[in-house]
Amino acid sequence: MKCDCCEREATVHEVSIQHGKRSERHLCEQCAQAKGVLQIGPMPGQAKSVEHPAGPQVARGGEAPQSSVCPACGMTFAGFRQAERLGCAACYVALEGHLLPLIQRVQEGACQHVGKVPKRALGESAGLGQEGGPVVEAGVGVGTGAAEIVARVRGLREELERALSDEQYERAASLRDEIARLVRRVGGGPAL
Amino acid sequence: MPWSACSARRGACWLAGGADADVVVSSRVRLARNLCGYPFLSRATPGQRQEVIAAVRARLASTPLAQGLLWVDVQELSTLDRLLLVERHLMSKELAKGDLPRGLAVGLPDEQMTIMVNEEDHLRVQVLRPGLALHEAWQGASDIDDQLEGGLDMAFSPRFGYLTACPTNVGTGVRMSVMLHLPALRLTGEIDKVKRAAADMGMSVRGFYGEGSEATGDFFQLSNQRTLGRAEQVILRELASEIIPKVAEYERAARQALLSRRARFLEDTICRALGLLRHARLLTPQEAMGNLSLVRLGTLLGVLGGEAPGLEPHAVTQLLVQVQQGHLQKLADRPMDQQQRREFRAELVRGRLK
Ligand SMILES: [Zn+2]
Ligand SMILES: [Zn+2]
Repeated sequence: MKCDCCEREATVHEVSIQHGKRSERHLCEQCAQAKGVLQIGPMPGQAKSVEHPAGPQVARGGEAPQSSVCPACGMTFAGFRQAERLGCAACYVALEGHLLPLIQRVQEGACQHVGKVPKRALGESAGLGQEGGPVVEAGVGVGTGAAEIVARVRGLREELERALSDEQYERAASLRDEIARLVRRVGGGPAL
Repeated sequence: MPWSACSARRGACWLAGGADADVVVSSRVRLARNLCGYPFLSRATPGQRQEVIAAVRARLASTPLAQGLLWVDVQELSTLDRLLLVERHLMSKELAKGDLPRGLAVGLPDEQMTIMVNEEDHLRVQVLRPGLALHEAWQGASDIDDQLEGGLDMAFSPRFGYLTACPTNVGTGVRMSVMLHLPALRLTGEIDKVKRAAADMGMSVRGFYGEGSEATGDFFQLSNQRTLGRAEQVILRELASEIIPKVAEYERAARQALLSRRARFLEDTICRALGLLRHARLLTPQEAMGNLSLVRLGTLLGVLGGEAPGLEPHAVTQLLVQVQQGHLQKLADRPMDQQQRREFRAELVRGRLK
């Protein structure tokens, strides 16, 4: 079974009964933790089964974000809290650990886009364009070939998950940098 | 600046009738987009802001959109001109403030489409329509988006969708809203219940002039709050086919209940409002909006009307924008302090509702 709000496998199943109405939630560990499902004990009148107890991934949630700085624009999570605005598109990857719970809070638990997709991001693969300077003219844009980058980032993100659960933090750090570098090419700002 | 006393006199097109206009004054769809390769605006240098503007203008110039689009360098505008554009809902307060490079493209002559550049995000595309016309507004905004996207790479991630400076807009980046006129629900004391119900359905409720503005004169902007994890069509269907018709029916039922059970009270309330507007010598904006709301209700229910051309619902609705301070100063063609504006506002309203 898939998680209610992302593509991962759901491992936390919650059944709650409120005002005589029964509702079910099926979440992956990350989402369950972000929603506080794994931390809070069962409420009265609320049944909960947690098939996989909090593992190393849960401990990681609090650890990873502390050191997060966006490699593209230098934004930190504290800086974001103050400004209430992100610095660039790459912040979404670099600060993801911090942002995810916040995004889920303001977006009613959602953490996966559904809807319109820019055609160019999916379109023809005309090479990746050069590194550096912003290029936005048609045909040579930094976003052409974005689909490949996007697929690569997806793969890297899975590798990152594995590295983190194996506690290979150095590898995780370099993977995170690589993801941020790629994201910068699809949507980030020039590095400071 | 093409917005002169003349356009102030003409009023705003999005206040001109449309479907379900008795309750739904106007519909609006706004899209938030950012360009690839540039930091968001909190980190952008003035030079990068200029580059964003140049890229957007170059793209616009190569599309059919360029026909009838007027470009405005907002930082060059006077305070009064900025005020006028905000009052006409052509740009946000956020875009109006500050002197860093920022721009606005307005579709003329009907002013129903605008593109704000360097607001909170690089691009804010907006389409406004009178009455209940969310489908058309969405179609319009999405078409503009497609045209822009044909030559500009938008910051997008398969996971979070369109990436925006504030995570409250991430995903579709879409905000669909309607301006509702709900005077009867206030008179019957049910308005708070409706506002709570709307909030429970994930809608946000704001005033006539958006975020932070009090819901003046029984006018409320209802819009989707959530932008991630729900397709545009789903948001659209829920608003246009479920929530708005329900609220509109509720308001209409309240109007009928007032007419049939408390006719004298209703007539008295409306006629007092008209009396005040016809005789006041000094009017605050709140007084003007509040009483115009009741007069509008009176013209819609046939309690008023037939006696003066100024008492057409449409004419009354236009006054809602024209009594705002920017419009007043444009109409008077001179700067005015608060006291002078109150006097001029009263004079204007008196003249129209004669
Ligand atoms: Zn999940
Ligand atoms: Zn950043």
